[in-house]
Amino acid sequence: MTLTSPEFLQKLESLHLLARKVLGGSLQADRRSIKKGAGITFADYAEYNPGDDYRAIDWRVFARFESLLIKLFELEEDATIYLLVDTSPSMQAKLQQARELAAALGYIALNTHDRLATYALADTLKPLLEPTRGKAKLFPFLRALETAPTFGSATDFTSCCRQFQARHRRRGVVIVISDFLFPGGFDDGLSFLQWHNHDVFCLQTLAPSDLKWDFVGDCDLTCVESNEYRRLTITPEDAKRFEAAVAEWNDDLVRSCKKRGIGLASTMCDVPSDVVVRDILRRGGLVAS
Amino acid sequence: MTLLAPIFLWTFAALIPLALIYLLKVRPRKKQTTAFFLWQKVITPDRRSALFQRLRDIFSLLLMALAFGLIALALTEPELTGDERKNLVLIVDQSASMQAREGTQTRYELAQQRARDVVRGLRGAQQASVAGIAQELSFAAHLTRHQRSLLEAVDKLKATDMPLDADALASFIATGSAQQNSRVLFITDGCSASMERLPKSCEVLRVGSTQPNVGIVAGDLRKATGEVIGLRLFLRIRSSFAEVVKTELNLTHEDTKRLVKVMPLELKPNAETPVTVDLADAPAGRYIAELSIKDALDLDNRAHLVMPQPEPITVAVSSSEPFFYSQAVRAFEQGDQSLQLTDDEAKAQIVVATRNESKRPRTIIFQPEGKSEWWTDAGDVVKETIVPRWKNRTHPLGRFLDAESMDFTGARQLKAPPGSLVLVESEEGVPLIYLARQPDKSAVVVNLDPAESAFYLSAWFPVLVNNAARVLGGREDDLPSIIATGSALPRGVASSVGFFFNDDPLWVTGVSLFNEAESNLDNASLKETAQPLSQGRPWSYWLALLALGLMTAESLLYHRRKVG
Repeated sequence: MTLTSPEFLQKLESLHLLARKVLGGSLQADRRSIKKGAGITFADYAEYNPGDDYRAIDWRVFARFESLLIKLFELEEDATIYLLVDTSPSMQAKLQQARELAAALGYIALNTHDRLATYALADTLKPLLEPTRGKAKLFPFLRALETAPTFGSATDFTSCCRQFQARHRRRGVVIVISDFLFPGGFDDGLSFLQWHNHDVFCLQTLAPSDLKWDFVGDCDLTCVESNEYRRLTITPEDAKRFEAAVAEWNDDLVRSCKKRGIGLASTMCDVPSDVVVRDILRRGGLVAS
Repeated sequence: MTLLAPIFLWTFAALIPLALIYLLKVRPRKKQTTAFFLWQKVITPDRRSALFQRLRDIFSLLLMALAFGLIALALTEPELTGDERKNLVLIVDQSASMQAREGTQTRYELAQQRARDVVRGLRGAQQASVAGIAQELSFAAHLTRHQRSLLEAVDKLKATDMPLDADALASFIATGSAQQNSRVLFITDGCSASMERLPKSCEVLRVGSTQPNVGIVAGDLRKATGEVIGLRLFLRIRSSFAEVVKTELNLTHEDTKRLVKVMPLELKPNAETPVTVDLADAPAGRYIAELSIKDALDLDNRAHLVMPQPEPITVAVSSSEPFFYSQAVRAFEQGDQSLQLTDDEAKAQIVVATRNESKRPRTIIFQPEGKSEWWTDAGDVVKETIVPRWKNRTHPLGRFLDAESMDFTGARQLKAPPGSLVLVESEEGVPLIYLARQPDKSAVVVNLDPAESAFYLSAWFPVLVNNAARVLGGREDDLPSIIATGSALPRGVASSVGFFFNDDPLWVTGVSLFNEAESNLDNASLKETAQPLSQGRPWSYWLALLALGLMTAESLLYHRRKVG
């Protein structure tokens, strides 16, 4: 099933409807912001200061308490969604799911008139779709995703984040879709994105072979990205140690995201992408757990 | 060192492909990982000896090759010089004398017990086969190490009523049927006339001891001639008792179950006693002669005897000079009653005729002359001296005849019909005695003038008439009426004592032991020549065990590479 096939598009539409129901937005700029501004939804009270819009003064409160308070409303703005999709060789087994997840999230963003930019992530950052808006850009977006090849030798997440920030000063929602098995680690990159006031959300997709090692004996162990290899005799103990190391690595990712208030969803590549997105939406959207 | 199965040396050739397969098998497999950096953290670089890791496959291969080589060597079954551990051919004597009692057991039961002991002594370490022999060797189990199969084979063998033919065993050994690397162990009581011809390579395990016994070793029943009209019984009874034995001989007519005669006997010690009994007016049929004695062997105390009573062949004479022909027929009418002269040519089975004077379907024709369906081109009398020669000497028509000394004066130039069997012809090719057959007809033609050649006076004249009558009457060979066990019968061998009914209901054969060696249960002279059986496991066992050890060691070594 390709990303532009009618079946997949039907799935995306149903996900979009679910998103509207869950998130409860109107047609324009549905995404809620924590910033206060000139919206219509009441958010809070604030003390009146000279220069504030006197139209916002709540005269009922003044009549009862003789203090000038102004009503604050949620700012409804059009957000920018940045999709960073890991297309390094290590994602070979998981790339289709990553593409489908990116397509689902991008579809929702374009349908809610958010700005959307998509990048391929590996040892360097490659743009797949420059910032754009509107449903008309849906097919270019999907085709760009579909044709995105794997590339690079060793994923450098930190470097990619720097390259991303150099391109986009405007803050937005950064969704990273990857296995997060970065030789250089993920902490620096996530910190960097947060430092620049992005709302970061991590979507980790893993293959069973990433978590479990079932071969023992003599082998030439080769890195799928760098093609670096080493002749090893892997014992069951080695395999267990490796599995423990992977588990610890993933636990670190969870801890790091929690610490930073970054939303994280982990899934296996054999789980259908629409199930993953539904699960995310039912949990309340792209929020930190 | 000798190899019992050198063919298995070819197994070593399999080492090369096995080594290649092994090297392919232990070649490191390429495995890809998405988290190589984590593996680098997990694996410590110098955990094992690098040198050992490099040579480990070679060590493993050498161990495997060594183990395989040892297995191949074990398959060849190597034996060190002087080791008597050979394949064992265990042969049990099944002859009649093995039925002799030794206390509460028979000799055969003792032999079975010894065979079982031998099999159990092998403890599965040696290959053995089990066979029985009386008249011929029959295998109950072929070479195997499976003890239970061998024991079952020993139990399966039974004693027979036949005498031992040790020549059959000697022939088995001499023709190499017993393999070169085999020991032949013969469990016997040695009561056989042919025991001396047994080769020395045949090791003997003796069973039984000398037992006194009385047995009928020969017998016959004939029509009495002379003054007595009836039957005459001839028996030879041998006693191996050291003292005179007094007993009785009971003769029963089996057909009527009537006791015909009871005769007291006094048997001389260690000697044969001939017994002749005249039975006046006794009918033909089956008789059992039995000694009333309880001795070691019951089988030889009975003789099964038969006086056959076949219908005589009726013969008529159709000749202008019938005298000599009738006399010739009468000779056999009075003797063995095989022919009967009749005047009624129409009822006669056979007609003896001269020239072409009879048209009966079965005819013996002397002095052929004129036209006949039994010859063509009957010409003049051969004037030259006729030198007869045999063309078919073994035919029953020529039995007891000396055709080359016969005078064929008066023979005519003629040709036998196509398909005729010529027994005697002249050097010029003139048929002199021949058998001609046509559908539903047959004739024996004797091409001579009996009067001119004085053949009437020849001893061969009645012989030829009798032979021709028997051939034309379908009585070429009389079936034997009294035989010993082991003798040939029309269908197979007489294997047990009793009465044997042939296809012809008029002919019954009485089968008895009638074997002096089997009845004489003296085996004091038989020496036990069996060598001790080898003990312990064969070399191939230890080689296989060593190979197993090496394979275990290799497996552990290889296992370590997998499981640490």
